[in-house]
Amino acid sequence: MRKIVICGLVMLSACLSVPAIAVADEVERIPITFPEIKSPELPPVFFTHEKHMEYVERLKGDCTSCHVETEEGMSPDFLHIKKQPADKQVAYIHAACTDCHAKANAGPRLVECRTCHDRQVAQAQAQ
Amino acid sequence: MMDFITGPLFALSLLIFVGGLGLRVILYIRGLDAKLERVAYNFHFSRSIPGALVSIGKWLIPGGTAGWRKQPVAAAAFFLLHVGAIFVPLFVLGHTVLLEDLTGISLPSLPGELADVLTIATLCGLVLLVARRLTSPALRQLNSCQDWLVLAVTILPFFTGLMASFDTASYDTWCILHVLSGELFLILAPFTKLSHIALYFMSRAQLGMDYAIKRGGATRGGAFPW
Ligand code: HEC
Ligand code: HEC
Ligand code: HEC
Repeated sequence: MRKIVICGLVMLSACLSVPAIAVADEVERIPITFPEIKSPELPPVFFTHEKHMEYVERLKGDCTSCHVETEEGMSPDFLHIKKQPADKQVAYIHAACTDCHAKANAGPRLVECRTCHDRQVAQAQAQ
Repeated sequence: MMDFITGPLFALSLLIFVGGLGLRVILYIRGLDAKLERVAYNFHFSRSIPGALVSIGKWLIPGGTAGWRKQPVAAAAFFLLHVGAIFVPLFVLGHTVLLEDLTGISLPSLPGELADVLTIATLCGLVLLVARRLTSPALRQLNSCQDWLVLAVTILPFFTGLMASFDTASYDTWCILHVLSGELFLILAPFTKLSHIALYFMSRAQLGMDYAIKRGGATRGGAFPW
């Protein structure tokens, strides 16, 4: 009986501490600089660029999964986003990010808005 | 999990919702009997169509009919509920973004705060209707299991959607519950009183035609005082 209670308490404290760990994450992130958002409706996305390099390596991809090779070398833009009409750019980045997640069966799908548009991450980045 | 409930399960629920309500409309029309009801539905279109439209329209206006004016509290709860219940699912940002991704159709979206206010109003309307069911002597005679089921199935998607939009530590759970409860609503709608989403228009049109064709409503320009 005592063991069960202790087990329960340990599990409970583990559950409670999960959000605390998630808040204090020290992952490197970069802002998405394009498209420029004038009046954002959701917290801006801060992208785990370093980690995505590991992710795409696992998927046997490389920088070109997200950047196009041009004559002047690799473009720092996300795929073909600058070629999209202005009112389709957000839809384009949504589709491009989540298509890979769906194919890889990992990472947030489009329904999970606030996994990418994370208020706590955005607040931490703003500081 | 997410892929299944937003993919095949979503397609199935939408099919049941649209197909089921479409079938209910067809069955409603086929169930009409001009002889039994003594309404010549297929004649006098110049009178019956305006009559149908007026009847549909007037009940959509707060206080637009004697029925609404007689029960101001129920009417207030009704409109609190329905304004949000119609505009939020169609125009909340989370849905318009998904719609654009799925179909390319881009709708305008509600500002986040307005969507929150409308959702809270909807939930208040639903709670008032629950209270009314519990207290009104007439309704207490009539209450059935289905009435409670319909109220619960309507509360769930609005409540879970609101919780998801607050972006708490259990965001993922609220998201999944929201998708599932929305699909439950879509699936149950054709089989329950929720079918009024489509049948409201049918029964109002039928009564409007009835009054306009044979009860002198047409002599008042399609409008009638009762
Ligand atoms: C999963 C997609 C993805 C992969 C893989 C990726 N990037 Fe990026 N990269 C981005 C995004 C998104 C941005 C931000 C674009 C913006 O600012 O709008 C970015 C920005 C950049 C930038 C400009 C911003 C900065 O941090 O200096 C450079 C340079 C860059 N990437 C280089 C690389 C290189 C080199 C690789 C391969 C080793 C790589 N990227 C792989 C998505 C990716
Ligand atoms: C080429 C494939 C690919 C593309 C393109 C891609 N991702 Fe990912 N992403 C992944 C994979 C794989 C994971 C899952 C990693 C895991 O769970 O181990 C992931 C995980 C994530 C996560 C959750 C984990 C974390 O690191 O924060 C977020 C958020 C995310 N991606 C955002 C984005 C955004 C925003 C874009 C578009 C700018 C994007 N991704 C484009 C492959 C991709
Ligand atoms: C895979 C990550 C990801 C997911 C999931 C995601 N978005 Fe985005 N979203 C982005 C990126 C990247 C941008 C462009 C840059 C930015 O806003 O920081 C963006 C931009 C936007 C914008 C324009 C900027 C603004 O704040 O007004 C809106 C609106 C938006 N997303 C809504 C949504 C909604 C609603 C959902 C859920 C249905 C969603 N997003 C899901 C990555 C994501």
